[in-house]
Amino acid sequence: MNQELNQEVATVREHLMQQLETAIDKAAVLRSPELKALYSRIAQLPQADRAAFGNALNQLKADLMRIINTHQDLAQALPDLDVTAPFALNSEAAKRAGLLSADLGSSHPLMSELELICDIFATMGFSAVESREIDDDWHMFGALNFPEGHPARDDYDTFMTEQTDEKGKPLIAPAHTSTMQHRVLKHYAADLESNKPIAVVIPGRTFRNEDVDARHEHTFYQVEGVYVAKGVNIGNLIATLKVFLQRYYNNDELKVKTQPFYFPFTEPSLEFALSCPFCKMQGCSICSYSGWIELLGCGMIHPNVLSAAGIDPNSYQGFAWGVGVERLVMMKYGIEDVRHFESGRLAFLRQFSASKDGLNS
Amino acid sequence: MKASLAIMRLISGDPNFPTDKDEIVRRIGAQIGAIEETIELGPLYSDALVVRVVSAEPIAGSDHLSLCQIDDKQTRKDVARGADGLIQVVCGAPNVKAKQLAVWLPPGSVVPSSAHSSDPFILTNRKIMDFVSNGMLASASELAISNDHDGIVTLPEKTDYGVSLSSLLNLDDTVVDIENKMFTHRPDLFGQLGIAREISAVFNQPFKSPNWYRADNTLTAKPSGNLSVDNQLLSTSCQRFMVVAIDKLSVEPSPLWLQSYLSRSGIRPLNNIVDVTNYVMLLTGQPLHAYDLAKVGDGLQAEIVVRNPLANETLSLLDGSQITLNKDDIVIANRSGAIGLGGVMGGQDSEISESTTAIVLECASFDMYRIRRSSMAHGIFSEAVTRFNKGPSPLQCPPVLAYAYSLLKEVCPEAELASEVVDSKNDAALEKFQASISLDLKTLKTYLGVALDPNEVITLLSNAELEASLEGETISVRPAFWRTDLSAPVDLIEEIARLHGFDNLPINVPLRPLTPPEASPLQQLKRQLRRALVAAGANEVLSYSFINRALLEAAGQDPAQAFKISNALSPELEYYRLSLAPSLLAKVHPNLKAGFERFSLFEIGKTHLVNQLGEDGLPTGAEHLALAAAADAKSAKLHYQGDAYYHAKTYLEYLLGSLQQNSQELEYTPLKDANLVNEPFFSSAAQTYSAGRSAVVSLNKSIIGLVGEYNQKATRSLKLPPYCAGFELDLNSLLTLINQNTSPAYSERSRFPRVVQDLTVPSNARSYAEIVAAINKSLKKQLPPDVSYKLYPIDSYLPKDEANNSFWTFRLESESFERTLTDKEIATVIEQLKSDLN
Repeated sequence: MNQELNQEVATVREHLMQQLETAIDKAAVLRSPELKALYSRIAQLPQADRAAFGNALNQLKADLMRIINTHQDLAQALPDLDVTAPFALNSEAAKRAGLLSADLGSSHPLMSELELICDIFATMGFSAVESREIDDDWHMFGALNFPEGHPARDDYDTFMTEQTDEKGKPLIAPAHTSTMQHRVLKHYAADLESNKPIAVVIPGRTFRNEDVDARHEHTFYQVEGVYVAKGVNIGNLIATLKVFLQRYYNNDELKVKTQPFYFPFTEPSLEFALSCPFCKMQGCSICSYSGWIELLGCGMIHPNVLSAAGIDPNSYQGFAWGVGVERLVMMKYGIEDVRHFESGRLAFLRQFSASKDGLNS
Repeated sequence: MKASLAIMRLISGDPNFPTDKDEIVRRIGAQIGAIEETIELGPLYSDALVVRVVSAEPIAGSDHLSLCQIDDKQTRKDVARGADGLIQVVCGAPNVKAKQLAVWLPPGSVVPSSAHSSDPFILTNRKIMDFVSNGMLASASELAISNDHDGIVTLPEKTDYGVSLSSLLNLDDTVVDIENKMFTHRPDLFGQLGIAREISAVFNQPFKSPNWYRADNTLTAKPSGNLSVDNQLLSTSCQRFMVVAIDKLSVEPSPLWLQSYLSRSGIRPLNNIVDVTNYVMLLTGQPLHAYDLAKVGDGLQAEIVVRNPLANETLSLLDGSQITLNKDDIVIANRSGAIGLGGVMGGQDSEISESTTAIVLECASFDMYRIRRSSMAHGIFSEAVTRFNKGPSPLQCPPVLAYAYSLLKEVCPEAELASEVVDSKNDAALEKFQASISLDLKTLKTYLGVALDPNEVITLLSNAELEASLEGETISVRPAFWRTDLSAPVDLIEEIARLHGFDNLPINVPLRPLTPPEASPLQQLKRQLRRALVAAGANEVLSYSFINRALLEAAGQDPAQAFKISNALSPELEYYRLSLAPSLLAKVHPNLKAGFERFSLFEIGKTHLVNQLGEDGLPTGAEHLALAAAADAKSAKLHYQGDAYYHAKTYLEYLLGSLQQNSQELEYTPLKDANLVNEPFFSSAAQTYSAGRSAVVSLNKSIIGLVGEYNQKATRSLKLPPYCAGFELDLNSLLTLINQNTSPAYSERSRFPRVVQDLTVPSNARSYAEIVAAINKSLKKQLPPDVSYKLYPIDSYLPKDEANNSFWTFRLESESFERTLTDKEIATVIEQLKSDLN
């Protein structure tokens, strides 16, 4: 932008700032003819100057608004309150702020189902440890037998932060609750010597850097499970998940099937599918007419992962799994769109209250 | 990874190769990898016939149409025939000629390329320029075999006609698309040979690789040219680099079978040279690349260099893009410059074209990690990258190169080797492959939960061409030369369990000691708080842990304190939230707009600040609970008198009361007077609250949270209604205090009647808390030790035109454990109290 235009804006700026200081109706400054005149000049300028000139005007306007807003904040500020008082002065007892009626209240379905999941596992002897929302590369990948630069890392679409850990690596928004495996194994390793198995479930929020649609969320919940003891076998893994799912869906007829899979931190690795609880394997829209629903990844904990946590893989074996909570809950309630969960919409949330219509008077 | 059952059956050369399609699909799913899709090709081609064009005469008045009579040896029923038994077809292709063999799609059939579209094209007896055309002669594009639509497909002279196209091209086929993820560690399964082997093995049938697939199958050449290789990356990133020059080639479209095999496997046919390299890759998982020798060398001489990129070196790639090479790229070059981005994509300047007569054929092994970095840096995800970044075995390069040459001879019978095979290889590195692995039967039994017969185990392995032997209690396996994934005993366990079938293992829950699981007080607290708020009509919300800058600023918070996401796809996800309030408050306006007149939303979640690290040096974050109560103007007027602040405070005191903690000492310090210097989480959260209408909440002198109305900036930016207030608590602080408080919530009541009296006192510019403190002080001074009391606020009154002098009315309930108190006794106490307070 040429010097002349610059100067013009600067002059108006100075003038308007002076007006602001003295004006009683400060918002009127925004409507000043000088500012309008500058805006009307844009159309007459050569193409090359328009953008820069427009930006300069917008900047000026933004600065004026900020000052006006601050003034209004002070002007509109309500009187200070006696924050120690139990209710407002002069309020009638019948109209004092009270609690809303109990029938409107609801816990979030993901949270109540997570409680249920942890409760089922608690009856099976699993304690619960919560996961984290920021972790380092070592826990997310390194301790789980993902070599640096391994293509298996590509499957996780991890969010990273600008801030780094002490090795200079970006911190990570965990893409799986397995990020807690190493900590949990290390923490409970000593129990193994007193013949106490490690049995822990790890609920937590996890993140994948992907676009959101009816079936994909960048933010979702998982429950990791870890079991380590002497003489643990593959069938133990399959049976544990099977009885959990039967209990969760309250259906002892549920069947499971496994498919081989690959995770660096388990060997063998399996993908776990559940006979569709809705159609008795006759095929329906929920199972895409296959009779089966792919539900979770699992496997026998890789010896390298045990060793990294100080557990001798020759003496102890274990299994681990990670299950997506949204999927379980969506199937249970027939919820069609994963975006409902983080929408914060009462139209969704109050369906889980005692008052199903949810609109209060 | 698409695998064709027909191609696999062919390559197995095994007459007993499994044929039960459904069972094959089931076992692939259960024992090899999850199937994304199965595609049946058969129905697409069920009507297509190979025919002979008997005559093709130009139609008068048209510049391109020909009237053809075709011979199908009377194979097709229900079609109009002339007296000579021939069928009339109008054809618009420029290449149609008498005596050709072509592919005919009869009337009633669907054009294969349109079969999966929303509007499949069904052929009829259509009249074109007065002549009836019975169906059509098809192009490769219409047959969904290639993009070629310049003319009809013609077949070699010796082809039998009157037969179905399916039988000629093996089109009665099922293509199984298996998830790539499963094969991250199995480069051999990115070739259909590898999958064919696995299929045999999971059917418990021995597989035998084709004769050409042997590590010692190498080309022997009588050179007429000279090729040299300067592999500068031999020790690290390119442990094998094989090239050979091939001469006397003519570039043409591939035979239809080859085109069809490629297209059904998801690769577009281009020309015979490139198609052969792609087909061999589809079979073996080993990418190959052909350079036009004339463009990279001089006559039949060429010098190929494998090296690191030079500073600011550029390269034009096959896809037409121009890239600047970076440090992770592997450069294939000649003396004048780069000719290819190793393992990722060839260069445009050395591309095979119609004029190509000689090529340099490359078969190499690159460092999979470096290929991955190179591909990510340029955003190129070619078929070669998909395979090279899994690290295919360098030991298969010689047979793959030899087989590629033999196929080139098949499509170009004149082809000749024009150089020695140059094999630049790192022997020390190659020797590390195929190291034997021992697995003791006891470990195997532990993992499987059952003892398998050792001979059965050896059979399972040898079916997959893994050489296994039993020595005492140990199974010893030498991995086949194509297997790069087997290095530890547990890898063998996986192999054995999978081939045996996971479904065939004993399925039992583990036995464990009857110890109750460890309790988590924090999780229990969260459950308790959640239950209490739900019972108070509040709705639990989950909102994202990430918020954008605008929201952070609307909440008055400083972005510099927040962890910043560096790679989010969505611009909405920029920062980790510093407190729960911003994302919770963002849910208020949409719900009011949706017609909900009043509500209380709460969320339990984590917050993070950049400098707040745990003992392990990592950000553990804080556990918060936030609530926001709101009502629209109409509803607020109807239901609530007074400021929203007291609404939030009511919820807070109810919530803390629900924890059944005795001797709570709650204190509220006006936010504007509070010192939050050593409270980074609270001082950040406080930015959203109104300084004069909010308080810092302390329990037993420790800060546990904030309560109040939101400031003007937040109110305006987030479109909050005037009646809106909330609180945010730190649950770990709360938990610590609860743990310290061991006294029970219960206290014994007196058997003697209570005396209940009301009293009204002026505030005299004191706060409510100060008034209560003064009352308590006076009562404690006056009442004898056997008397206990409770004090409740009942009412307040601020006369008009008075700013400070309000009045508070309390109810005083007194009782003694020893006697019946008299009204008079208490009335005297109250009189004294009033004078104390003045």
